[in-house]
Amino acid sequence: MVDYQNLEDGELIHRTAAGDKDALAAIYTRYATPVYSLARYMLRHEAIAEEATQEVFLNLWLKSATYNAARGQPKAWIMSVAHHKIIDIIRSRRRAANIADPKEYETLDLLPSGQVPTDEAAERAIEAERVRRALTTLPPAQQEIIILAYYNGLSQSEIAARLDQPLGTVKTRARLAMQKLRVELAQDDAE
Amino acid sequence: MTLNNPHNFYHPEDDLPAYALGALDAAESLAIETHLANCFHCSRLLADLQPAALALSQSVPEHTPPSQLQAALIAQLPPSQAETVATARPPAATPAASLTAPAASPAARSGISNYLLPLASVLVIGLFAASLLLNFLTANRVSGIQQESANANARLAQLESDRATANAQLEQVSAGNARADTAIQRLMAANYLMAQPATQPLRLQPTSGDSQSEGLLLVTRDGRRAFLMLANTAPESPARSYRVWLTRNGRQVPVGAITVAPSGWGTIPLNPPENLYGFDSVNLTVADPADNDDSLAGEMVLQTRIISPYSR
Repeated sequence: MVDYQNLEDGELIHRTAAGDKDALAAIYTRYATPVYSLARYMLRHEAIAEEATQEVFLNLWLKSATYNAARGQPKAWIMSVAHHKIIDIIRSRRRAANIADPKEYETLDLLPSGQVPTDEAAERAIEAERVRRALTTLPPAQQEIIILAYYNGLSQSEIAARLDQPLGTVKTRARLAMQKLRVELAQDDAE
Repeated sequence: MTLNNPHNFYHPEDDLPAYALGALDAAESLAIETHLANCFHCSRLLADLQPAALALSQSVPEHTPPSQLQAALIAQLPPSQAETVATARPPAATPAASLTAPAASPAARSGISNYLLPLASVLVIGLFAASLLLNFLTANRVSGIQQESANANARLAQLESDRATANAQLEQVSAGNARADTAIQRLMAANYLMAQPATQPLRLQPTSGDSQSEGLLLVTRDGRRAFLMLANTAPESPARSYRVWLTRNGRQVPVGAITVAPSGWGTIPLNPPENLYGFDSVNLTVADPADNDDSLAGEMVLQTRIISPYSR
């Protein structure tokens, strides 16, 4: 009898790749909340976020064989798959001009929810504050790229058109923003 | 994308931050993922960016998904067909009729119009019967509408399920196409190198006497490009992945991870960081994929010394 709760993420991904549905269920138990939270935040629609969450885990089921440990922590890979799937849905809905609430994020409104505070919620609030602090060290133009790309799901070409900037400028800002954010968060970890 | 040579062996290092941010379009993302599947160097660069992307994903307000979502997901997993047809709800129970008999008229109470009583009774009974009939017809119509609504919901759920399955199959086909493209490109690269008269073959020798593994490294004259082919090698598994290293003065440099198919064959184009003839040897090791350490971890499987025929 396999104790899935005590298996590490990497092992669960390998088992999922071998067609083990219980392994995927264990991944779901661990990551359903962060995936659904990200989908709710980016899609701003409860029912579509539920649908997106299902598609994310369906995607993990199909893509688990492509997981490569050299690409970093399993947790980062899982959330990357989730983020890319949510962006696919945003762009698909944008193409269909079917967005119920076209308002997009323009500021860093990464606030904790109004739920009853728990240890986990407190940790998330601290993490949100840590990211907000790191983001505010970036020049405003680089902050804007992060918000438009990561949370609003715009591609580099769409951002260039939106900001009326050359594509090369947007690419450079995206590269510098991620490098600086990485350094800031790493320094924060070290302190 | 950064071109390293004129034969499309490139490392898309400049696009990795945008990939981590999700800022590439679908075609660009697919190209990056195809490259990452075979490039240890770019995979490690992306791994450095992932903590920042992970932090962004975890900094949003928390919401708990509905509890029934998991069961719905498991039911959708291919190859079994999704069974998400909603159960049609039974028609809502018709509220019991609550008509009450009207109060006796003041005229009856006073005894002035006794002859009107039978007429009034007939009228009341008629109205009561009519209201019962109306109530029955309305309940039937409501029940019909509820049934139609349930059927429409079931069809919608089925369509959504079919769409998810079709999307999943499309992604599988895309992934298969990407793998086939990679295999064809590698065969072309190997053919190209083998056709070059100046290409030098180096045979990798097993480090263990009972090993059946064989390896051949093709190196261009300028030492800037190489192609490694494996045969009769134990296939890759979750606990076994192969890595290729260059060593010089005892120091090892990772140059790639090679996938070995169940047939025992494996190929990988190598882009050495500098002239390959400047290194002492090429090594193939096997290790646990979870081990990201840049040391020469794991068991050595094949090795060859690098001897340049052009320096003699």
